[in-house]
Amino acid sequence: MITADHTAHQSTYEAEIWQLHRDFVTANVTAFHPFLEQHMAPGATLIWYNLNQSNYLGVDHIVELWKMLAAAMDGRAARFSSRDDQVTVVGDMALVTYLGDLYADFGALGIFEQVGRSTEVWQRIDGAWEMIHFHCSNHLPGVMGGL
Amino acid sequence: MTDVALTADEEKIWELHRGFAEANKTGNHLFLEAHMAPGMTLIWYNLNQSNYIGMNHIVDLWKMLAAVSQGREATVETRDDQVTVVGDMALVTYLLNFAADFGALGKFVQEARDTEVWQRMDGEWKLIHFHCSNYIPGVMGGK
Repeated sequence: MITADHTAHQSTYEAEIWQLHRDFVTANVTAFHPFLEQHMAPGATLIWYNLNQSNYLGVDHIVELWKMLAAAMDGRAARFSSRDDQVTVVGDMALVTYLGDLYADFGALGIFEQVGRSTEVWQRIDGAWEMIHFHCSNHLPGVMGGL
Repeated sequence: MTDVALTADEEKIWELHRGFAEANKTGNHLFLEAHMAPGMTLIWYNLNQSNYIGMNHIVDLWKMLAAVSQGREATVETRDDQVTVVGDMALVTYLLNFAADFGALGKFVQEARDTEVWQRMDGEWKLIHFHCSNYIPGVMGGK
């Protein structure tokens, strides 16, 4: 049964997830690792399937990568914008899907210009939304009738 | 090691996850029609790097792939499977060893990472999102 209280919670939760999603996109631009430390699930919970096709398990693992990438960027902000964003909140779990355009100059590691598809899964843990899963991969529209 | 008893919902998601992996072997589109979210809800980011929106879109692809496979079953082996159920939503993550002979479309042998997101709708669990992508361990300190 959907009550007025439930509807109010739902609206609040959706607003919170939209804000976290937008802030996450912004944090990606400079590989701002304090965002990860604040909003990723603690310990070994986080399962992160990265755009570089490798996986990072637990918040510390992806924080290490972002610190390395921030150093490689040497102050050059990346460009990253999302589109087709969709947020679905069901109780204490939320799904965000979107496409994203990335341009990043990682110095000696190379320049990356890529269109990606992203999945964020958030869980409300002890009253705070934490990301428990991220999956980002290359997007190539038009294969076998796909978009 | 202590065995942890699964809840009824966790058991159901495991069963659906295993059924989904099995259906992938033959491109059994009937599984999709029974267990995907109806209408345009489903957002499917496929291993071929393209996207399929709504159940009918991915059913069309599976019918085509089943036709070109001509009865040759694909290899679909999952590992590191993890199920998380929170109320009426569930997340499944895993790695995948995939090999398929799609006839004129070619042979595919690929390691992948997979995400399934299920939602209970009117008492039944439906897949609302799937994301499968290529997996290369060891890039930039990753696993």
